[in-house]
Amino acid sequence: MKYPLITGFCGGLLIFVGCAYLGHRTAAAITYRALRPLAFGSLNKPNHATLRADLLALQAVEHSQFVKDAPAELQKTADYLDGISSTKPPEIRPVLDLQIARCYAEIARLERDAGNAASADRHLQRARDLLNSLGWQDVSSEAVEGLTRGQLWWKATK
Amino acid sequence: MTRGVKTTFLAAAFLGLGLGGYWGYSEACEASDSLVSGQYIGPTYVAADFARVQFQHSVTEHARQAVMLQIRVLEQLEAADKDFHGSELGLAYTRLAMIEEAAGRPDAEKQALAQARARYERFRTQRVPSQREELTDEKMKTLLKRLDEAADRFAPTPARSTDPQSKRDTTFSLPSEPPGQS
Repeated sequence: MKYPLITGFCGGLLIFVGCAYLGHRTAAAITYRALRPLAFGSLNKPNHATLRADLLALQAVEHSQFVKDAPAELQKTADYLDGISSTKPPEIRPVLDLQIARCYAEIARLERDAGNAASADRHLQRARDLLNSLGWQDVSSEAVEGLTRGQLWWKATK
Repeated sequence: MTRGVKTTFLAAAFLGLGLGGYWGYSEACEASDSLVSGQYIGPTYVAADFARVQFQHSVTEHARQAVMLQIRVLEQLEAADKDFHGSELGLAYTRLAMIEEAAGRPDAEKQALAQARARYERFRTQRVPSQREELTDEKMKTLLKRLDEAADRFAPTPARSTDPQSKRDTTFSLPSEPPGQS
């Protein structure tokens, strides 16, 4: 080796930086997973079980508002919410149903924009059925489309 | 590679992993703490948004169920976590009062308004003790309407029909200007 001092210093520095980065990422991921800050860990008493389940369902709805604006993703989200809905208490199900209706309304808009009128109508009808079950008095196309505007605004800012 | 260089590399690796690990751990703890303090924001927002949307679009019974869900979640959270303050409860009870008013149940409306006032007063005592302005029923309702209008501007929804011949059992129309203002 020609320059052991320089090689040792530069190589050591590179290894130090690389290992520090690796250590940082690994430790942060492990710690974050262990702490689970958004799992409502403070609600750990037995009588908090229902509240915690409700909060997790509401959190699932919140997260589902930020999915990619694509029919496949929205369909996946609607299916997921539909799946968890059956395990939730009846009082919380309407919240999930409203979000599923939002997903269908958004799919209908995207399908219509893509020229798939049949699929758009099918999804719009699904949204209408859900909104009817939620006691909506006006399930016109305009009213259903209005459901998705908040999410579209958010996505437009991205 | 000399023994000295090897030792240097090994020491650099251990030192890097140790310091990086500590840095990552403390950063994740800090992020976790701030997330824990705001963990209820999302779910309570979803409950409030659900109550607002149902209030604007659905029949009285469904609107009542939606706002009752919001109230239940907020009250249970208040009871379960001392760090949580259900400041939105005043608005939720005001919404309930408006639903009861539309349903023609004056006693239930009065009861809900009394709850709303108690919540507002508690919030005011905690946050702005210097404020002494009297809180009338109309002021509480106007505040809720204004907040709903602001939310609608953010996420506009089609206006409800105000046609008296409409078959809808409830109509919540928003005034263009709150009372006493021009």
